[in-house]
Amino acid sequence: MGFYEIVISTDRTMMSNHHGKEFLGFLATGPPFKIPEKIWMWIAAPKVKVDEHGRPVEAPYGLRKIEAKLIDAGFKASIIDPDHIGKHLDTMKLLLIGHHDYFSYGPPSSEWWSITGREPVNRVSFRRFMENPVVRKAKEKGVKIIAGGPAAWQWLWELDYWKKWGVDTVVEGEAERIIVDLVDKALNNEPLPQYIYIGPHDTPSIEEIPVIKAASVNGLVEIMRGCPRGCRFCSVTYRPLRFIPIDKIIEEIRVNLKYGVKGVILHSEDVLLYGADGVRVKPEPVIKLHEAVMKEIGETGGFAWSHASLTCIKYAENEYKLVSKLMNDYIKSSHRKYLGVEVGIETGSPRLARKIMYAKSAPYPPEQWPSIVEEAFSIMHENNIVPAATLILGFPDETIDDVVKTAELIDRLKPYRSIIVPMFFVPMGVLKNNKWFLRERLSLEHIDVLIKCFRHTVYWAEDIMNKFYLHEWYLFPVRFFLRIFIWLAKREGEKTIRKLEYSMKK
Amino acid sequence: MNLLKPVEENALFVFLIYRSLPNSNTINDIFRRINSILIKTGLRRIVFYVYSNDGNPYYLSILRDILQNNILYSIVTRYYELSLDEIIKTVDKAYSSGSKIIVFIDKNLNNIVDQLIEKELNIVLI
Repeated sequence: MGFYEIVISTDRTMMSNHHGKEFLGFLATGPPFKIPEKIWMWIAAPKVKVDEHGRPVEAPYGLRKIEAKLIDAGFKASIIDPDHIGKHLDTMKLLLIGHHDYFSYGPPSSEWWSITGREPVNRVSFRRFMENPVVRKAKEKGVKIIAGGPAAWQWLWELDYWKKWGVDTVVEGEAERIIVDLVDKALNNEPLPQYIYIGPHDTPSIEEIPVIKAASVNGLVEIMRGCPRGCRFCSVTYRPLRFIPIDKIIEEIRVNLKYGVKGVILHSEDVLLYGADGVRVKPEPVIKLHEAVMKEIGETGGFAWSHASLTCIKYAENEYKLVSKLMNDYIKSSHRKYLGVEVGIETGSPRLARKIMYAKSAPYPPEQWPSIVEEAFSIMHENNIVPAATLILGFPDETIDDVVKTAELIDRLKPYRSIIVPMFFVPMGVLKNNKWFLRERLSLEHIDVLIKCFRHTVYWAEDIMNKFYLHEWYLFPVRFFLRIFIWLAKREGEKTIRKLEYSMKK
Repeated sequence: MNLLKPVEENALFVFLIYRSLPNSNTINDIFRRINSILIKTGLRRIVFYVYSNDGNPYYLSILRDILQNNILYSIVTRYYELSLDEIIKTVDKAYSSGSKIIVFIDKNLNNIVDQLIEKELNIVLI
């Protein structure tokens, strides 16, 4: 017998804790490579523990926020694991779904898809979810479907699926201000709009953002929203900057701990900008935040930053020795030997940096961008911070010289432990009316960058696995398959590179 | 007219009524006109009422460029089959709510154009 009239869910690639290693989740953005899809999915997105109602112990943070908002408003709403939605078929009136990348149009899925010509597993998995007999049965019964999340815009390019699956409304943007009224109208059978884009003017204030009611995937908690840097390829930057107060962050960490999630991932576009004065790091709020977090999770809790900017890493260390202080005084322990973080290189060209991400290097001028990147990598290497870095190929107006400069920068990053993932330009932010960059537009210089990134990443991935990653005994099978994957990737990659180099010489 | 809070309140109501598909130049021109009204009025929200025979959600292919090129404004879209009665009813409701309205209408839909012109609305033939 079901209980919830509002079921919030998503497909397996999202509803997973990725073995406690969120980076493994990125494997879901590609097609299975030389490994059966079932094993690929098990490595990238294993099933999560659920209770008797099918409520997952851990769930994506964005879904948790929507759930909290609806519970606070008095609705019978809960996140339900995709395998257990059937338990609520008799009571469900609304199915809310969210995703980072519904149709694999985001980076890096679109890139793997373009290069291999095969659908990434996140797209396959989401389609499987929507075509699941239980979801179809729910739709036949009149359940309304509302889709949201950072990939909501992708529905505009998949109108056939939208129609076929009977999606009622798609919501793009931060939904806390509208979700209660929208759900209320849906439950009252009032006509719903088909598309809602929430502009910066209608983003929620700190007070309107609820505290999650149950655990998020790997203990992710947000510490701020928005970003002041104004990069033209990014949509986050047009939302106002808001810092979540420390007591609210701690409240969410306690929720996670209560549900048995012992780690914390601080989520922000730039963790070091917490409490900052514009783009200049202020050490006090960052230290206070880390002090408070570590008090909660102790010596043994896992810890990561979601994102940090390379500029802030350099600035914070040069001005205040803040990076080494955070690592030595707060983060590193006998259990925490390294810190993982995503960073954006985007380009090695100062010309392009000036054009598309003028303030990414601020307070330094864009002309210094390559040296900022290199110095930040060096600081991270010395402090056992392992960055997963992205760069973007195919920006509008990109020249061959820009791509060559990016290749030169990757060469300079060789000595620093890191993963570098090249991504193809996806039209987002101010640049969202531009053309996609796909395989057909690759130049020899782009291929050179792809090769350099591949060799850099394979080299350091082995080092990272040997020194830090997946050392827990219960992760031995994952480690085993990942090693096979790296070995296969290296072998097949080198074969492809040899072919490419031969054809380039011709 | 039961508006979705807050994104349909204090919004510019845009009626887009057509039988044959407007081309991309027309759509760009529509967005330019909308933009200039938003700048003049200081409104930050747009509600599109689309009346056509395209069907739901296929009508969104017409608005895709507008949705993709926009960052600043909240936008809500609602779709209806082409029906004179329905259009008049919704326009009247929007008008009586005191909302700012602009109507873009296919110049070949003469009977609807005649009825709307009587209402002294801001009408643009497309």
